[in-house]
Amino acid sequence: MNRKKNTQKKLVNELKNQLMIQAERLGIKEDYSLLFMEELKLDSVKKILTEFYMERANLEYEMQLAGSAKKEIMIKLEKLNAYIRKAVGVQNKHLGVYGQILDAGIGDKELTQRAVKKLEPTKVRASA
Amino acid sequence: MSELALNIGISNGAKEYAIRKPQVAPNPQEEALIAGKQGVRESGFEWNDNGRAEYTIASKIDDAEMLLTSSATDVTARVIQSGTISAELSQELHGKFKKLFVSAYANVFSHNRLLAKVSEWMVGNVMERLALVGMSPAELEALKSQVRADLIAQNRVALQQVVYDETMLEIVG
Repeated sequence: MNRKKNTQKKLVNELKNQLMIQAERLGIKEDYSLLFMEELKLDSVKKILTEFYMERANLEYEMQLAGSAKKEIMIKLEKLNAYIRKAVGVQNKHLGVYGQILDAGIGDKELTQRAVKKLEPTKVRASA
Repeated sequence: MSELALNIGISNGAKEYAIRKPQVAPNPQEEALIAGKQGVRESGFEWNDNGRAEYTIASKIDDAEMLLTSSATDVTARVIQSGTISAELSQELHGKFKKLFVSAYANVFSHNRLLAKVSEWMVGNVMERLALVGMSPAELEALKSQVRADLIAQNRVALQQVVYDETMLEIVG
């Protein structure tokens, strides 16, 4: 099982490398920054989570209808819930990485906040 | 004794060929007259015989008429016909070379270095052919940018798919 997983990972990495080489030749490698890759990752997690939630809703509906095959559906639901928890964990992890990359791009936080405040329009109160 | 009499093995046909009189070169003027009698000559000239075997050219058309006639001869008609055939052929070639160029130019950006190198040579060759068939440089540039835009879109979609698979493996695997 572990061997199969490793093979799949290798295959995905190889495909990714090939696409990166092609992107370099096309002159768009700069577009695929770390931030962009994290965005892609977050989009993928969102998509996967949506699919999981849809599957869970289907299983719950089936469970309401099913009479004798409830046990099988229960096992499936448990497994699916575990996957959903893991997906949420992966999402949080990548959100953290995304935030770190953004912070690194901003530089000094205090200075940036001060600059943003200066850019904000000043409120003028009408005198009585 | 002639050489032929000694040569017993020679067939009758060969003998005939050997003793045949050499052909006299035809008089071009006579030939032209015969041709003139048969119909209108292509050049528009007419040969006249004054009865003393002195042939003269009698052209009854002036220069302007000659120009008109020359543009209405069979030769010109053939040129037009061959022109239409070549136009069809060039259109067909244009399409084929265009297809070849698109595939070769797409392969120039391949991750496979050997394929990319071979495609570079091929692109140069096909570009030359396309120029001969009549493709303008602007058209060629437009085709190039179109292929590049398609490849960029393909690359982005493929990367999205790969990242999706990677994430799925991270969760399920």
